[in-house]
Amino acid sequence: MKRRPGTILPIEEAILSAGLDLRHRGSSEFHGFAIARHMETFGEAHQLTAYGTLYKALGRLEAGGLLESRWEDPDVALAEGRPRRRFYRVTGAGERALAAAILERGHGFKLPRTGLASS
Amino acid sequence: MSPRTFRAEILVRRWADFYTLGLETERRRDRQEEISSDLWEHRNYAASEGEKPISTSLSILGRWMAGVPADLSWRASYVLGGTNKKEQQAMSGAKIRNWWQWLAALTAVATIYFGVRQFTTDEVEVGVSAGKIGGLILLIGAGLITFVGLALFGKHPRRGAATVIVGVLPVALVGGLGLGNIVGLISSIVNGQGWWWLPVGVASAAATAAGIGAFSAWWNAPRVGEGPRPSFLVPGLLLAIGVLAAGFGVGTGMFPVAAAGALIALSGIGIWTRRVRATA
Repeated sequence: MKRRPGTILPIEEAILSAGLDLRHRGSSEFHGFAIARHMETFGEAHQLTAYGTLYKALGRLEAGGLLESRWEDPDVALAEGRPRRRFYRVTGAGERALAAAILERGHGFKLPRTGLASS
Repeated sequence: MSPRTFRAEILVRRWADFYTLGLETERRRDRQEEISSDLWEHRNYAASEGEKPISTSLSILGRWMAGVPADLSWRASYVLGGTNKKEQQAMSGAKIRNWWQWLAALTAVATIYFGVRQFTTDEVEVGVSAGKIGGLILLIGAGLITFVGLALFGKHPRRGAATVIVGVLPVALVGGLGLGNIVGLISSIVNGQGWWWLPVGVASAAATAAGIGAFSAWWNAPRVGEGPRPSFLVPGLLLAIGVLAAGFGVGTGMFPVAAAGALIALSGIGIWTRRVRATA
């Protein structure tokens, strides 16, 4: 599948869509597993997205300015006895890219089963 | 944590250690920590949902294997530098997303070729034999199944990818999923059989890579536009086992085994057809 300039891939679209849906549900930031689980539960993925596919896509989106990320305070993670999380947030550019992707698909586009579909 | 889940997690961590070797420290640490965090979250979420440890382990292994091609292409994007520009360029790596389809097509051609070629050479066995006829059935069957899978993939990604996995499996197994290639090559040279194993080994490695790529496509394929789909797992396994048994049975002259294999393969096709009709 070739990517045309200025377009996003389905996996990237799914991540942005799920990220915005989580924001609508009150979580402005998300970590890798949370987005994979959300896409499995509410999106088009039928299983948890593969590690390589997920983190490669997250990296591309961040490099493209469609996502921003920050590492959690290590003390918080330590206090909860778990590895620290890397939190992502959809940027304004990410929202516009997603809107453009949905528009480009036109009326043939089938919205994923997320809150975004009803918003 | 169950021992199975522990081993699955260790495998994923070791793989991350391996493919991030040589990267700048920060980038490597970021990926390793992100994977560690994901594994922890996955395990704890699964436990809170009361998921069986075996299911969690299989899910972890599936996520790992389906992500291997993406991990490798991600790593390859840093081979020449690892700058932000390289990361941007990696976005265009999507154009090689379907590399495995080309590999699977080549494997299918090679599979059919090997099946026919054995009748034009006396490298392994002289003349026409039941073994060669069994091999012909097995190899042509596998090659055709691969082509059917590739043809299906456009409209039905999951079914197509699953069919390709079944088609490339026999050739992948011949070379021990690529791991037995070196041993096979050394053995054939030491035993004075020359380099005949080399094309077999290359084809097996290609089939294995195509199979991993197809598995990745199967795992990541979305549900869009397909509605509820029947599982191909059981019929696919029956088809694969049946084709293998039929080829083995004819090849060794154990015709009851061959007949049983044919029946198993047909039952796999039958089950799949019924499931597809039921959900159509």
